[in-house]
Amino acid sequence: MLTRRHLLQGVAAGTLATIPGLSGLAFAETAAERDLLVVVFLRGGCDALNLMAPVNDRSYLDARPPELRVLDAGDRQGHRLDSDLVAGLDFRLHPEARPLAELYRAGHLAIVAATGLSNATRSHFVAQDLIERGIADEQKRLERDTGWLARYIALGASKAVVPAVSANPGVSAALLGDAAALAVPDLQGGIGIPGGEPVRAALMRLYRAGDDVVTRAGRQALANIAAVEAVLPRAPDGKVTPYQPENGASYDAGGDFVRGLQSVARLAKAELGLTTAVVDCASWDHHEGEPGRFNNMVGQLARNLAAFYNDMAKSHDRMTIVVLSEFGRRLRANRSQGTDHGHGGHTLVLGGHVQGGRLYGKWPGLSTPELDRGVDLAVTTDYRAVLAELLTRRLGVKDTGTILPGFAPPQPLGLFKA
Amino acid sequence: MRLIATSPDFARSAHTKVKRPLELAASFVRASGLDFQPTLAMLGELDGSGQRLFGWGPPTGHPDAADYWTSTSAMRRRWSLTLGLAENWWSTGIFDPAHPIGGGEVAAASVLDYWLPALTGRGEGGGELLAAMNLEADSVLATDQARRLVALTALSPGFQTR
Repeated sequence: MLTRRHLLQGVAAGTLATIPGLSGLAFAETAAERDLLVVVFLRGGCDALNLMAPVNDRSYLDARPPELRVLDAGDRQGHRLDSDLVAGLDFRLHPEARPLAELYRAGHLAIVAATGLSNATRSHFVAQDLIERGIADEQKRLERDTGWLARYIALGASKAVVPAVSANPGVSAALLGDAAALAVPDLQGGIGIPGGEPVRAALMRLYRAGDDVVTRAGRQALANIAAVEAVLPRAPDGKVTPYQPENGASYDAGGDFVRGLQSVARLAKAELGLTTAVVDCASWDHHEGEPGRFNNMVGQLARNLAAFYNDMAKSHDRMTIVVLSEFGRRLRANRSQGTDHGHGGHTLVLGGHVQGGRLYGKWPGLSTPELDRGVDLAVTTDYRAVLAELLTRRLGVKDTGTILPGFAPPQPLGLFKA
Repeated sequence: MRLIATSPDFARSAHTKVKRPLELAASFVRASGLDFQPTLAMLGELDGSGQRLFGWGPPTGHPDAADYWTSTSAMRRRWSLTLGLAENWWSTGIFDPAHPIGGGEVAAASVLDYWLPALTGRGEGGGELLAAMNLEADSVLATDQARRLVALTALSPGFQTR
């Protein structure tokens, strides 16, 4: 594999220096020092109360059939989590989440319970939009046309070639506004220019001048593609060699989520200065037929998140993974073996500097008076409290006002080691 | 309606909205007169462009923001989608770039005189396109060359917006 040094030599020799946007570009001197933040977004509203719940809570037992809750006994009992969140409540992880339970017990994974939006919306559209803009007020949406991660990256004035990647077909809304953000759902096929060198040369000429949004984007794309292509290892037949995870990590054989994680791992290891990545894990909107689908999805999430973490073992000291969803789902199951849109969820925080093995936050309870609107898990920790703590404690941000406008961070939860 | 259509703001809005991939493909098919047959391979390319027809995971609709449609991978896919349609990579149909200008072998300048305004609504940029293919204005083009010149016109910034 080409290293940063090789690539720099290529730039110096003029191999890449003719690419607008890449010539004269310096690799971030501190690229290796700045933390890598990986945000995994569970799109569709993950049923948090089927992922991690107090399995001996009477209200929980009454509200859901066994196939839609975490169990405390039997062949499919959940993984017990040591916790001092509420005396007497037995919090457990879904049985398919064994790899996450192991990371929790090893002290790498923390779970912040009952997190979410302070806004009351149950709309996927609004909730995802608010979270990706880093706000909670719907009235402010039109004032914020950039994503919270883009504003975070802008604060750092990174000169990295590829500071951010959205491992999805399009740029995540959290990265909107960062012109250098790369969107690559899968690097296995390479990202060469269609039509090869003649077309690339033509595009270089067609996009070399001009300041409109498309021309600038074209220039950026040509620079990004050249930089990534330069570090993708290829076999003699020209094909990108299959990704080889490190440290014995074993991903599932396929799927968008797996390809996304592997693409992030490839880029992170390629020394292009990657500091921010977003990976979507979609299709958590289970209004019907939830049991089988949810079990499969939790298994996929847990196995591959753990595989990625294992694969990235060399970066544990400078990497944090945050897993969140736009909202949780209703406590009471519906009559279609599913659950409807709810409110509070859980946020998972994983990394070498995380004070893991603990449940954080304040558990609001599941009796009707304790529920939001009498039906949903209440939110006791604003999702921005977790992000603000991450930004200030791990990512070197002193003031989160620009990134999370209008939010006054509360006392830190203590998620990170000193 | 008259107020909107005659307003300066409306006049200034031309060429500021980035076409979505489906619109990009459709506008090329219409402008080129391609006898278009959709194929699964072409639809797969469209899917990979970031516009997943009936397959957008979250129920939010595709973003209505230029940044989304002009990311690195989106630009690469836009170029691929247009080039592939022009050069029949996915068996979607063949178009004759010389047909509107008399057919047969044609001069590069004649190709650009017709196709540049037809595709971009403007006449500028011909010099860059000729240089991109190392052509002179009076170079006589075979059909494949003329098709590539039209394709590059559609790959240029001027065809990406409406």
